[in-house]
Amino acid sequence: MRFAEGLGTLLVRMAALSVVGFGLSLCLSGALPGGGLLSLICGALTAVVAAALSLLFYAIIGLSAFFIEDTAPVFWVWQKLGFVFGGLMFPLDVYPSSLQTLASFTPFPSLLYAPGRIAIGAEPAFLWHATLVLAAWAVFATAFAQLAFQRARKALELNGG
Amino acid sequence: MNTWRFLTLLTETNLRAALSLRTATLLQAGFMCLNNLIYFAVWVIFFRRFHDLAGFGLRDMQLTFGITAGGFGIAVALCGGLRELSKMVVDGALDGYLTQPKPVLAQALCSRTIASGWGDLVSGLLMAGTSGKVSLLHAPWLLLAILLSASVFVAAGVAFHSAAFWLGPVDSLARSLWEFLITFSIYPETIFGGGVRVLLYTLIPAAFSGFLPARLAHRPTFETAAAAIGGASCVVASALVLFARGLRRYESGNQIGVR
Repeated sequence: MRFAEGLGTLLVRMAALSVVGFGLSLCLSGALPGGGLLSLICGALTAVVAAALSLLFYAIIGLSAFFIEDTAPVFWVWQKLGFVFGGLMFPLDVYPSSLQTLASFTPFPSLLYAPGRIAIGAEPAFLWHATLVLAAWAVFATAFAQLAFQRARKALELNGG
Repeated sequence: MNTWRFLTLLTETNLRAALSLRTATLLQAGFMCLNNLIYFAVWVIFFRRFHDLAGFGLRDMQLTFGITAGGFGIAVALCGGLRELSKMVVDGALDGYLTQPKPVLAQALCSRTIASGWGDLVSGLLMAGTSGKVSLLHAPWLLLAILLSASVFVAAGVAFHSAAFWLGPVDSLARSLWEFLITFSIYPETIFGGGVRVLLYTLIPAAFSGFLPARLAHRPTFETAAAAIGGASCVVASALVLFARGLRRYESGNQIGVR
């Protein structure tokens, strides 16, 4: 239920921010991305799926509160790993090959880098690869979240009164 | 009891309270260290590829980042109440401090500690110390630079949050301005144009929390020391004046509390 609530908030925020973000990018670059409208639509759809998956990972981080009390530090590290391995500050293509390989073992390229790359016109093979990787991470995250929740319920100590 | 003794005891009490949740405190500090190191990895990748940015290399970035992290760490570890200052003003929560015979601002700032700040301080010292830009002989200058950076972070935060006396709930605005200050502090001064540079020496004083202290630690000269100390003093004095003037407009929250 909390996930659905978060997803609703996320979609509303995403819609508002994409209007601002897209408008600003259009003003600054003065043109639509080279891939055309189809790439933009594919990029937007991938971004929605990736955002929902990010939310699932945040839920897992939230569940860690059952074991470590304060989850903020885990969130900071997750966020910064996103900066590095998600190509948020610099495109992954400029990274040394060893780091690119390391990044490919994390969910961050599919969550952050892939939607942007698809929106600006990636080759179809990249689109299919990104979709499959995203689906694999979604299966993993769902299973992990359920397992974490079951463990958390066992670890829960109730203060009655 | 004089004010310094009072503040030292208050800080000790805050530390003891934080350490009563030992695991949570150590986790916060440790993860903040890790967080800073991961963030810095982005710059390592950048400088490996592009070598320098307007004459600013990886070592310079490491020193500036270290001093900024250290200064920020001290600021939030010792003055953890800063982040809530505008909320205290709006909620009328300064009442409890006004009845005490000690300065209101000092009490409000030192009312809590933020454990992750210790992680910032440790990682900051580690990064600045291993940057290769500061010799052992210049270590006292490095400490002075970190202290100056900390005082600017606290003072600028006080100034931003003091806007609440006039404008009401400015919590998010004050936090955003403070985050701008942190962000701009770690970038090299040389990449900014005239207009932005003026802003960084005045309204968002990143020059005094980042690049001037870094210059002082790397190559201490009389001119740099005068500019860094003078600039930090001006920011601190402005913040104190703003808070004192704002406090005259403060309206009680009619809260009953015991401290």
